[in-house]
Amino acid sequence: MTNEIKPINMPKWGMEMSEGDINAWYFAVGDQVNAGDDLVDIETSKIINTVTATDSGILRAILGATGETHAVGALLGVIASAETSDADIQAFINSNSSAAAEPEAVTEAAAPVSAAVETAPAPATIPQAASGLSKLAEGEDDSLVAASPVARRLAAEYGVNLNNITGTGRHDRVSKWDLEAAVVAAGGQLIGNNRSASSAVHYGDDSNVKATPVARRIATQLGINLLECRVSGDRGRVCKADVEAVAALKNKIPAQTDSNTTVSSNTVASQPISGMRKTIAARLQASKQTAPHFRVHIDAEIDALLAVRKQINSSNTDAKVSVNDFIVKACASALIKVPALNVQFDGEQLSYFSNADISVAVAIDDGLITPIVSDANHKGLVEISNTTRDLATRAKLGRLKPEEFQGGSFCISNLGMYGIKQFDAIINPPQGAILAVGAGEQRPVVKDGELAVATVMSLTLSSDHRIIDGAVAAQFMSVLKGYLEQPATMLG
Amino acid sequence: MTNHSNNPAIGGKTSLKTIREAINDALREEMRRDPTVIVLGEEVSGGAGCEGEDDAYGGVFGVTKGLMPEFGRERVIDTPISEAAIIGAAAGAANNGLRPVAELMFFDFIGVSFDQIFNQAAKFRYMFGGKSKTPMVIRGTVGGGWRAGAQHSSMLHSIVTHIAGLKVVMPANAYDAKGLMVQAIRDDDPVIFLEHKVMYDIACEVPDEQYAIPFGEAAFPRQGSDVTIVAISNMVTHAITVADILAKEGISCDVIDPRTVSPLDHEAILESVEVTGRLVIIDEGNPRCGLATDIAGIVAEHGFYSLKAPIRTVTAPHTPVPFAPELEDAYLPNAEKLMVAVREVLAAGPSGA
Repeated sequence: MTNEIKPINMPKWGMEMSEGDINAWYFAVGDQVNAGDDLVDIETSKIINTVTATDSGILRAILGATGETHAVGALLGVIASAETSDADIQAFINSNSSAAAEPEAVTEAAAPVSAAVETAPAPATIPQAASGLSKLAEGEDDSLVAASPVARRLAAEYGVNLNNITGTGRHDRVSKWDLEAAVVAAGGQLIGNNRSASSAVHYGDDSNVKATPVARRIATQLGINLLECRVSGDRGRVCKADVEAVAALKNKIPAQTDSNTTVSSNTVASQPISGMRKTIAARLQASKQTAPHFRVHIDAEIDALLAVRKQINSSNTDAKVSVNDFIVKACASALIKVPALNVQFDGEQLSYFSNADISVAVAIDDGLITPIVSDANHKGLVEISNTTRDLATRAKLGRLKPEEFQGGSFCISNLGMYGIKQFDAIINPPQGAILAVGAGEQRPVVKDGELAVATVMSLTLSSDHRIIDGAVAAQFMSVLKGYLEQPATMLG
Repeated sequence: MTNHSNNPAIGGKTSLKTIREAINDALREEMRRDPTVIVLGEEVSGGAGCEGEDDAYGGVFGVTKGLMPEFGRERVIDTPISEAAIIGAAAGAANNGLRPVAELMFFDFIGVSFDQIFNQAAKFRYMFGGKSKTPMVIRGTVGGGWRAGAQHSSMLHSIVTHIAGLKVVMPANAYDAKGLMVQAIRDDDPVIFLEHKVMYDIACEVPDEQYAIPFGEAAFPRQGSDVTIVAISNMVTHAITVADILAKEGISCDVIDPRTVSPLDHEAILESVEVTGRLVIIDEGNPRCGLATDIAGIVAEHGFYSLKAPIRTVTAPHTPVPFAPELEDAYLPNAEKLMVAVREVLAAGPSGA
């Protein structure tokens, strides 16, 4: 019967997507749905996209109501024929979403700390947030499929039929790793795996973190890294309350409720943090904590650039090349000239690129996103202009594809339109550097001993000193200044 | 000893058989099936030349009993006491189209025939670019506990495991002994088939029909998720004893019997350690450059991040096997020593039990 019932699961769009918000359903329970129909809009930390139906039938159940957050792979709804009984639908839901039905439970299951898994014996069936696994569950008797004993055992725990797994182990038997790859590919989560545990969020040595002795002792007892804790103690120390807050977050001890807390008369509008805000917070905090930033600052005169821009825009009515487009082009040219800066660093490996994929920070509602102008070194100004405008427009609509904002080796953040003269930006990991662009404004300059007026723009480069040294950053800025002040040299 | 959950399902009738009987079965059926299979060694029939005693011994351990009357002296050859001659003749026969099963009564005497094994038979196929093959089996008894003294009790499997070109098989029960012997005879490379002399009379249900167990696939006589115990040959018995005791305490052990140490199913071991994070290896060989250190090295290199506690090995001490019974008992690894090591490993690490 189950093969007539089709699940609708939370999709995984991109490596970093772990959960999504249900924005809107296009159908109500009881509606006829046809394969290819738009089913439901999902909002991730980066985009809004639409899940389309892969099967036709009646939408029999909706488990992910609008406004809820669900983990990747969670069962959001069920499509089945009108003949399928409600009992069968319910049985299917129960067997597929014991964990996923409750959004809170999903969040816990996705938590990186798996202390419970280590101490408790493995349950007979691992509750999978991922009902995409149900596809792997179907099939004939798999007792004769060649599989290693560990793989067979785990298959039973995951509820996977070994007929669905391609064996690449010894003598082509299904290995533990074949099984796990299939589970992950189906959107499932690996649980109780020592190897994956070791690759989970890893905080470094916290012995240098300033903390009160009691806080340090409690942190050791509870297995909490002091780097995880906020700092609210006196003299910039992590205090006991900070550690307990993290512990409460991890449900290791109940959150302390202080009945004596006086309620402030100031009204506070509380709202849950959005997925995008969570991502921004995590990434930029990690960047500031792990990448030693240093900045180099330079001023560029852009009168010549403005003249060229005017020429281009007046000669081509379709073109609306902006100053920022010139900066993208100049950065791309400078990155090719100074390849040491055209780099990504993941903490272990350096990746140098032959082309300049430049991320451009775009402010959107409640956050920002950095769509990529790829191969900017091969694009002309008009092409860069059109690409950037298209990306920014779709970014604001939440309609970017994952590959359009993931990657890039260099980032530009321009706040000139707000009249900001100069600012520092935080590197967008794994990129090695980011350029902060201020407003072009008329300033007094001294030329050949004479006071003159020029349009000047302040540029600040933040670089990751683990991989980029001062001289390299300075060389890049000097080249960039040259291109901006004499735009024609970019043609060379 | 009858948990063969990861073996291919074999239908049909089974009988309770000892390891001795299972190997005899395998030899007889293969000799019936394939006329090129021959058996040679010291007193593999016994009583040669004595009226009415043609099949007096069937080997001093009785493993080849009954083969000579059925297949005759041309295929069951009693040899002089010369291991060099036995192995040399077998290697030559193998190169010329026969499938000899040569017996070294005690594997301790491999030294006398070592050149024939490691510098000749093991290398023929390699040196002749695959144009030659050497489908020979060398059977031999290994291990202590038989009160046989230092020269008849060694556990020398690591010496042959070290040599490229040899396959090394060490069954721990009658089911595996039969299936692995069949595979050994049908294999086109020299196979060292090591029988533990204290295990010959241990019995389990064995299918009557002929079947082959592929080399390099470990068996899991017990399955669990708290600690991995790798054991080979007679040590599997101890590992199962420990696993069953701990099971009553709620601690589950993954007991892995590689069955063949060359090729070794390191994949099965690494998979298991990924699940349990704890590893104890019990091996009757000497501690240096042995099977235990080899497996510990493989896991340390490829499974380090899965480990929650240091790897422990339980081996014999680095001495010859003593003759005095009390000393021999103290020398051999056993369930008590293994239990101590397993409990230490369970207690160690970040989330000790």
